[in-house]
Amino acid sequence: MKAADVQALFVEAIAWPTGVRDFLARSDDETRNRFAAVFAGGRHLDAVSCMEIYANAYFYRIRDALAEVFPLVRHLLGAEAFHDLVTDYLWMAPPRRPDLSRAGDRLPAFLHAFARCRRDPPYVPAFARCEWAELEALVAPDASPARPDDLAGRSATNLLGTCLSWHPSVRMFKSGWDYRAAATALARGEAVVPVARPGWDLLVRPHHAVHVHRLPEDAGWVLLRARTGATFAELAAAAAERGLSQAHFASWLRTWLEAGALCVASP
Amino acid sequence: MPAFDGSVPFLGHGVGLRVRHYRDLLDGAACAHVDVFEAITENFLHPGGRPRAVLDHIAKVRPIVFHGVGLGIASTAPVDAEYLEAARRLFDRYDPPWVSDHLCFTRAGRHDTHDLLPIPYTEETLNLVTDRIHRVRDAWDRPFCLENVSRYVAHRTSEMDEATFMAELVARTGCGVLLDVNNLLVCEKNLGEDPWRYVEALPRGCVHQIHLAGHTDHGTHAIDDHRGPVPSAVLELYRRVVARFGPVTTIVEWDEDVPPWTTLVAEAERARTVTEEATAP
Repeated sequence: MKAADVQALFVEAIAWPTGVRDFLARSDDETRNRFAAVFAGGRHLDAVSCMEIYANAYFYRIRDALAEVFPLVRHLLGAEAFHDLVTDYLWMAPPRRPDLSRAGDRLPAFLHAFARCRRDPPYVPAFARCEWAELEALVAPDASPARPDDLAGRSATNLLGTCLSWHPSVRMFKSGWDYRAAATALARGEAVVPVARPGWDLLVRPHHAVHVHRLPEDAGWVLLRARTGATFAELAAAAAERGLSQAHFASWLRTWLEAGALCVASP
Repeated sequence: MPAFDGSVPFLGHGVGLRVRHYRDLLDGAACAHVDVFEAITENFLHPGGRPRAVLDHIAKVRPIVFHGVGLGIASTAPVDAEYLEAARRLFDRYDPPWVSDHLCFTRAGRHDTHDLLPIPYTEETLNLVTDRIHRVRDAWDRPFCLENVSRYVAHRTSEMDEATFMAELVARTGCGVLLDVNNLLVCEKNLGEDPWRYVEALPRGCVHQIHLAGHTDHGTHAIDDHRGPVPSAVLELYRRVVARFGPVTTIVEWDEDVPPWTTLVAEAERARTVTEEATAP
């Protein structure tokens, strides 16, 4: 057998969702013969038992890594359902990147795509998206966020033309469920009761820790304009379009600046 | 730093960098407690945040070597070019004296298992890994070492043992060896391989680095889980290895139930004592 065929058989056997023994039981004679011709047991274990060690390591390493990234999803589903979720996910969307921390990159989309047939509670896909975004924010490129004082001393003309953009760590989603409240309850060891509340989840890591903010709908639409850069004047106009008063806009802008969510892009 | 009379720098005795100790390392003088740090390459590929801040802090006072788990150098699937480039940027920033990964495959097609899977030791895989080492060294432009992995299954199609395979790789490519002493004992338990025969098969001067760690003996097999202090059997084999090769940069790995910083440092000190005893005139 060529090395590529040996490796394909190895991975197929250990990634089978019900174990190596079941993989062989469900395989044809040719596959079983190839398996027997390639793999040898150890001092005390036969070849199948030896391969089960790899199968367990494959599944549990990834399951535990996903549990670290998605603690809220795991908590809300429960350990057994999370285990089953990982089994389904690995079968449908096997990892493609060498970095284990990225193994969950398609889990939010997987939950969303299969929401109807999986019958998960409706908040699970939304919370999974936010938990993945927390990981992305955690390792996003560093940048110095703008502070309220950076803008306070500018002339009116200068201020209106100042371009603000999202800090590289910012992730923001429109959601019907309050992720911040659920994640905070979990972190405090309190009962997690998902709350249906339309708005935006804003995640930002100005220094080393990720902070989660909940924005009302109108404020979120305005901040969205700064994603790739918008002048102060453009943001103020966007706020006016949504019926926000100047004072209301100024209050939100200060909140975003204090959160470290914006950088001065120019000048 | 300790000096080594040879072409490979001897960086001393250190530990594998783990998240639990980030706070110790950022807040205090803990970096100076060991000679050298080993960082897992994949944990630092992203450009920002606390992981990079910790590395920046350590790099000011101690050398860092990088150790990968995701290269899969013996995978027949194409090398992940994006990974190679991200790792190159990381290495260029910290300029480690060498970098390492494992003699294994990790993926088939596009399916990455995140595990270190054993290869058959054949002429075909020898040619494959030889070509890959050249590719990796071209991409990273720095010395590269391969580590012997713990194995739980054997390949009937192997044409040679791993020690012979590794020695041939060294001869063909000039790559270094990261000798994991714990893994030698795990393979002895699981597959009946002679750890000392492995050591004797390696040419002098090729071992750039050593790993020490613990494992769990389940009776029928041993699992390389890096749990607990370095067992006495591992330290005894380490003593013989150091007596044969001389002082070699040594890293203690501890991944399950990671202990407080001071406990980990004490393990590195145990290794230092063994080296001093084994190499005393």
